Amino acid sequence: MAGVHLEDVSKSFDKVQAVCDVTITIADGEFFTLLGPSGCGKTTTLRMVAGLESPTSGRVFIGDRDVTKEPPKNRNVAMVFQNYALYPHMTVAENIGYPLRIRNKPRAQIDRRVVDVAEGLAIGDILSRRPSEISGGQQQRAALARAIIHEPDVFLFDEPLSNLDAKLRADARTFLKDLQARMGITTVYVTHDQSEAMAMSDRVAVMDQGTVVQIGPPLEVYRRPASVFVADFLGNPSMNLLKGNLTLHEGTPAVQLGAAAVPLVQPPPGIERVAMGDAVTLGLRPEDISIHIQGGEDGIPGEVHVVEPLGSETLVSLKTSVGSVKVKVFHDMDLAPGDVVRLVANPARVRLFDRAGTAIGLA
Amino acid sequence: MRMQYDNPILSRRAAAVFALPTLVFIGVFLAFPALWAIYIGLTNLRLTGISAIQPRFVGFANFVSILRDSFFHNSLRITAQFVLGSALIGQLLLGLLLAVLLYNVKGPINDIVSSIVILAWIIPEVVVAYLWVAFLDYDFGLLNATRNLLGMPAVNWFFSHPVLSIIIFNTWRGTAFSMLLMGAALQTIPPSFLETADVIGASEWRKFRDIMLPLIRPHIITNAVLITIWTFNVFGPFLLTGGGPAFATDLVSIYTYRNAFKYFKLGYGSAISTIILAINLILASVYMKLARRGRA
Amino acid sequence: MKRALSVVALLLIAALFALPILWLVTAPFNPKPTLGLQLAKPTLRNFEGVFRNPTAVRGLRNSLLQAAAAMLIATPVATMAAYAFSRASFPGQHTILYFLILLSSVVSGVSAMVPLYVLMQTLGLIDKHVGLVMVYVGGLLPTNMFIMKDFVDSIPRAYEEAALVDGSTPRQVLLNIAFPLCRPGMAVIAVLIFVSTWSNFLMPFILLRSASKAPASVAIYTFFNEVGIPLIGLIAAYSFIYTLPVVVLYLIVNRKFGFRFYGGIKG
Ligand SMILES: Nc1ncnc2c1ncn2[C@@H]1O[C@H](COP(=O)(O)OP(=O)(O)O)[C@@H](O)[C@H]1O
Ligand SMILES: [Mg+2]
Repeated sequence: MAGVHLEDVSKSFDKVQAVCDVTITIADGEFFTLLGPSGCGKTTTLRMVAGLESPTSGRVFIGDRDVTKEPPKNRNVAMVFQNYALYPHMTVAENIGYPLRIRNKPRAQIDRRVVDVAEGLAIGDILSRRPSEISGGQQQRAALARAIIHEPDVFLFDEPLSNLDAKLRADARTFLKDLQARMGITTVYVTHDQSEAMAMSDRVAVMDQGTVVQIGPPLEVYRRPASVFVADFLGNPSMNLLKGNLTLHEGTPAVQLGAAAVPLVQPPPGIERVAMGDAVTLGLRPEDISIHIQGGEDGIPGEVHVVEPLGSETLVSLKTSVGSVKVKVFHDMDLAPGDVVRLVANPARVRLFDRAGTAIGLA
Repeated sequence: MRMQYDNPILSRRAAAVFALPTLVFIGVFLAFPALWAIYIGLTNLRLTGISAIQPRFVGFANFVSILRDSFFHNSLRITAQFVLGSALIGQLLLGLLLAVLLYNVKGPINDIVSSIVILAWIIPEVVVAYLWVAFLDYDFGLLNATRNLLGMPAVNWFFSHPVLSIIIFNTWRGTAFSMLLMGAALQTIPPSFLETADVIGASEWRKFRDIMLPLIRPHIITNAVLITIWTFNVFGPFLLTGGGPAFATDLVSIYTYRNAFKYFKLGYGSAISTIILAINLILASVYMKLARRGRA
Repeated sequence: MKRALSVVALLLIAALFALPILWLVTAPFNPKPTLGLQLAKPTLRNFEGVFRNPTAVRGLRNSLLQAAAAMLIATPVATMAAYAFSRASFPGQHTILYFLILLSSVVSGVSAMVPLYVLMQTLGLIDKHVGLVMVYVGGLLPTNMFIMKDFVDSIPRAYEEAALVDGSTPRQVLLNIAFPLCRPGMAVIAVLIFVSTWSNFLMPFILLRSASKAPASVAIYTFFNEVGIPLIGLIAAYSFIYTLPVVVLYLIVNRKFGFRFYGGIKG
């Protein structure tokens, strides 16, 4: 068992800087996710932990051991690749047993372990088949079995669920999270799917263009995004971002959005940094806005544009003077396109970003 | 910033060791002879006699005599006809036609037809030569037998139409390559393109001209350059005609062989080799330029 | 309609292509073989003639020896280089590959026959199996190396990387993972190398002298009687036997991998 520590790690290829000054400390047994859009450097970061890529600068630690210069085989990690990389010329059993075989374990012991692990993952009945003869879900489990068989210090996952269809993916997500929790093995998990990251991780690191832009527990990052980028990337639909100006409204700070002013009931610390009248962006999650049908003075006026019932909730898109807004409604409401309503923000959940897109009051 | 370790799959050192035998073989048996040809071409090296042991440096004398040799002019003319006829007209057009027809027909007919065409391509050269000697034979050959059956007079093909004979022979021999290459090119066209044309009711000819042809044009051009190089370097007709009758099929390849190994003039032959290498180099550079542009 | 027309046109072309080949499947079985086509009373006597003729048998044996040697040397050598060029990156790699492609199309048998002869003479390798095989290997390596490189390029590196992370040493990766994955590609180039060596005429014609070393392609030109009349029965049966392995290998490759090009020749 061991944690993972990256210290000022950078990696450049010929022309591209893929990873830039990344510092991350992952605790022993933690499920840690690298999350970000395609091309932001997640895979490269993971491969540097595995030893498949050597950092241009910086250091990599597993436990307290500096493994920066160690080849992969000296790191005692296991990795599940996006397309699983099951060796096509070996049976499933030979694939799963391979890490033990090269560690020169006795034949009988390998066979026993393979059966144990495979049965634990419910693939005991396909051991004699070739990877090409089993389903995508089974391949995923076979790859997982190969990863856990030699009890590595660290699991590395590179988008392991992205080749599965939606239903299987949801099941595999639950299964994987449970497995990791039971085994307690430090896990670094790469995905571009924010819902996967939210559902599985103890903590996530959101990456953008090679740098880590925010680290924290998923709900914390979801509720208090450090920047407009994170706010926009997390959540589906993503956070409403409304451009306005900072003003005073009846003595308290407020954001002027067209004709309407949204008062900041709990002004974030650091608001003094922003001068009155400066441009700011107001961030509101779709579930943190309520729709008021009766007339009144408070809130932003808007007109219902599209109504999408999703079963457990209803997604309403509205047009306002400051752009379109999406709202999640959880109880029955009789709304039709063209209805004129007022949108009221949950004051405790208002997020404010400065002109550069950085959250005001990060903490 | 120093690389801490290089490629974990195969270190640079291992890669160098792996590549070395290939580079040595190619260096000694391909690159070196090509360069040496230039040098030998500047000497009067012969297969026998004093100049076999002590060749003398003769400067550009060989090149001057080659360029003045009317047999060489004859060879160049015949080779040009041969390349134009069998590579650019024969193989390219027939290969393209076959590929387009095969594109529409799948199943056993596709397998049988392409296998027969490929068979003509893979049968050993000497056997092919005998097949055509038999096929075109004046007295017994199948072609004349068929003509007799149709009431047409027999023709002494090698005598009356020597260049045409080797052109048809070589077209038959080499069409498979163009067929395969053009077939692969057609496979790169998304079927939806042609289906869209079907939906709007385009004729077969318009579909070919407006959709297939423009899309595979780069492949056609590269193919044309490749088969030009190969046809220029073909030696097979020697087995059919020996260059005759009366030098009527004396391709540059046969001319080279004759001078070097029949007249024992290795220096002179080497000078011809240098000229062939130079022509090949020009054609290959065109090919590389096209291939590179195709990839960009 | 359109399909029917295509089928008719295809069968017509195929028939024209098949005509010259007919002799090869009839004459060997003809009791009185000529250059014409007859199918009466098939016999195997011509084949007996081949196996009673020491030159003929020796020719086939020499062809087999030379082709097998070239194949056994060139296949692993080409594969190793292909693997290196596919997996590693080293300075000058692109330039080397560029020159290899250029060389392979510029230096043909015809353009190199004279300097190759002189080189072999200088090395004392004229009329030696070794010399001929070396020349074969040198000539076949570039093309087959590129075919093999395309093949290796198509194997995801993730297989080797997975093996590394699983704890393999680089040597174990090569033996347990890379080599087995390369085998199908090696089989293909082995066949290509064998067939092109087996069929070659020009190189043994120039580089060998003694009849005892001549491969089938050269030996076939000695099948004349005392007054110089070709022994057609012997030639026909010999051609048949000599062609057979090529056709069989073609059929095997066609069945196993499909004899096709993918996306055209790559540079
Ligand atoms: N081997 C490589 N050579 C050159 N550029 C690379 C290589 N691997 C990754 N990159 C580049 O580095 C950046 C980050 O890639 P990657 O780590 O794969 O992103 P992600 O996994 O987040 O999608 C991309 O711009 C990518 O093109
Ligand atoms: Mg990735």
